[in-house]
Amino acid sequence: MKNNEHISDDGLRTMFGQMPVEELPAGFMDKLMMRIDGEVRRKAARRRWMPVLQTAAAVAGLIIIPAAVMFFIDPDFFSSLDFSMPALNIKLTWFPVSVGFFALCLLFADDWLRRHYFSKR
Amino acid sequence: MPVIKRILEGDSRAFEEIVSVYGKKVFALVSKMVDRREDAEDISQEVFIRVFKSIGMFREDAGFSTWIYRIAYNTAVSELRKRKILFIPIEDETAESDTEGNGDAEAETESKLCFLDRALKKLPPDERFLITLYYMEDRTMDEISAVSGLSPGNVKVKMYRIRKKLEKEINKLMCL
Repeated sequence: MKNNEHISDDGLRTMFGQMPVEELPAGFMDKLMMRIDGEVRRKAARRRWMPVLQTAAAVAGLIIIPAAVMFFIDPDFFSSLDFSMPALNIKLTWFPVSVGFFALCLLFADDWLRRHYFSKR
Repeated sequence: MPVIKRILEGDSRAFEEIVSVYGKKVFALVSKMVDRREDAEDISQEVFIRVFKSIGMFREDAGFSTWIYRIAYNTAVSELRKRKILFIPIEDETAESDTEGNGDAEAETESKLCFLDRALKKLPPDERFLITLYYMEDRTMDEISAVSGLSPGNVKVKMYRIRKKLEKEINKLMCL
């Protein structure tokens, strides 16, 4: 028997053919379209917040990773830091902070440019 | 497909066209798998939500109806598992004909359909889905294979066994 061939059958097909057609429950379409609309709204909200969350995650990563590396190299690194204001030890912190700040600026610029470009399109 | 294009462009109302074409078919298939109409309605809604969410992934190399039935099959099987709807075959003792004594053809057809319905309930839900797809939707072995994810050879063997089981059950019920 070929794959596209039906199994030769008898009364079963007739019996299935005689089975009553199931009607959709009342309000099925309305309920479904309400859920679909909810899904569309959720998708739009995700699209709005996702770049912000991604940017925040990237910035957090850029700050946390250098900090973790510093901690791995020298566990006493943070205890040796003097965070007391106003004498901030800029010599030690300027590099990761400036990298993070620069990345943040780049990401916001990228996001702004994308929005600007797509809204024009 | 133009409808899919419209949906992807943000016209969610175009999805109504898909539901109006496939709604009854999906509901009929799902209601063969579950006994309660409310469960069938919930699962059918879930099927269409999944279709809507993943419509961008539809590739036109497969038929659209086959793709929808595949989603329906997978959703129904996983929902049954999630809701812990157990498959309990009905015992033979309950299989009494309601139309016993009516000699006319209509009553005979009705009792046959009743037997078929009872015999179907003795099958596991996935087998009910596949046999309904085969007979009611007139699908080929290849299409059923695409829907169920089984190989065409396996489908052929499975369908043969299901058919034999059904015939046996119907004959048993008719003899009672």
